Amino acid sequence: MRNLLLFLAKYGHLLLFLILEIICFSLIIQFNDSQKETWVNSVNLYTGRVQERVNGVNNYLKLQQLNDSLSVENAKLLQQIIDFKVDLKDNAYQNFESIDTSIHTIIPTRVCDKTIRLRNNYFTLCKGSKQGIKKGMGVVSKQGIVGVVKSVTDHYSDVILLLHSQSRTSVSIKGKQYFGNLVWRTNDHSLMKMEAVPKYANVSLADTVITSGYSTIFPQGLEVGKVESINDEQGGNNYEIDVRLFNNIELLEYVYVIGIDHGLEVQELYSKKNSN
Amino acid sequence: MGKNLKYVIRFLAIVLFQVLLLKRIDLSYQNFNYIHIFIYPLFLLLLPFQWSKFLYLIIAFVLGISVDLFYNSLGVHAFASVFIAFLRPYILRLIEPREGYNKDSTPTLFKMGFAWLFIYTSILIFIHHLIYFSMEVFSPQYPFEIILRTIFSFIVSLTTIMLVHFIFRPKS
Repeated sequence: MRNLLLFLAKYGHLLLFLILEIICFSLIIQFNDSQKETWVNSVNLYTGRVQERVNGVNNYLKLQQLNDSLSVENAKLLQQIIDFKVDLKDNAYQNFESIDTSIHTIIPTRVCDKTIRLRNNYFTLCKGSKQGIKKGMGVVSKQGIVGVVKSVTDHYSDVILLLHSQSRTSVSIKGKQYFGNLVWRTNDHSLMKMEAVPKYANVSLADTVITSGYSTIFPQGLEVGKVESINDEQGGNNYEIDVRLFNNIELLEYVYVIGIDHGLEVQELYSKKNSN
Repeated sequence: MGKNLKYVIRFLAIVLFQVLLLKRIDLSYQNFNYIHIFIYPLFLLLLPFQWSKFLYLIIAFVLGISVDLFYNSLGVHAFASVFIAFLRPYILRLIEPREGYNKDSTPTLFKMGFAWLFIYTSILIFIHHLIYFSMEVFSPQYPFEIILRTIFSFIVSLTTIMLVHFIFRPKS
């Protein structure tokens, strides 16, 4: 109490000064029209600015949520478009079906996770056995083939990409019957090698490489890439052909899983044959 | 009691002089309307050195409000006069003569001499005018208006106040 009194004795006049000035100021802005107007306007100006800043920060914080909901919506719309196109038969898969009517399922899905920079690269798709994906199904995009489903869980599935040291796809040259294996030896994400093409096959540059249909994964006739260069295999009778993929696997966000009638059955048969 | 009565009478005289006479003096010439004479701060300047700081503030507030009532600008004059009433003790300390202030003395021509009185009056009147015109214009958009009005009015007000000192020669 004594301290308070001492404090008031020392600084009380400052307090009184401030109180009186505040009273004067409020009188000024209450009873003088022009000052009142200026005051109200400038206060609005500043509070408006602050409000705007706060709103900006708020919006920024909500951005993540908004983004998520947008991507969900996007995926839904894309699914609708795909369904619609499949219904219409006026679509990229029309040629699948005209070439090979054995395709019985097309499952559009988003890529949840991917590795690209490794020697053995995988996609993880956001759909799994609940949506009808099975082990051994092929994965394609609009521009070509992507890989093979390696394992499936309820809601996710792993895909071995073409860009995998163990990937091996049977392909042929369009218009010619020769076929070979498509493998990945380079570090270039769009450059594959086609092996085991006999030298008597008159392959020429810019020929189109398509799936052969001998595998049970992809239907016949899906375009894969273009012949870029033709080299002799060292000490062999075969060509080694560099194939430039149409697909940019690195950039894929949405892919389609395709299933072939009896494809899995045939695979079973192969594995039986091998084990015997 | 008689001493205090003197201050009451002086208060009324100065306020009435200000609001009845000086308010009506129009020194504007065409667009040049920067001159307004205010002598009512003289009342604050003439208060004795030894009074309480609280009392200065209260008196200044009452004085300012009284003038405001006649000028239709409630709060503006009060703001400026409370401001100089607050600053007055500090300014006094700043310009204190070598021998200090005599207790019970008052800042008059008779007691303090012309040079000291002139500096003392100039400082406080200038601050008063600056604050007053800032509050009156009430917008940082017109800094030149505030400065011009302050300077011209300051010169005229200062002259008037010094004249009052010479004419009436208040002793205390």
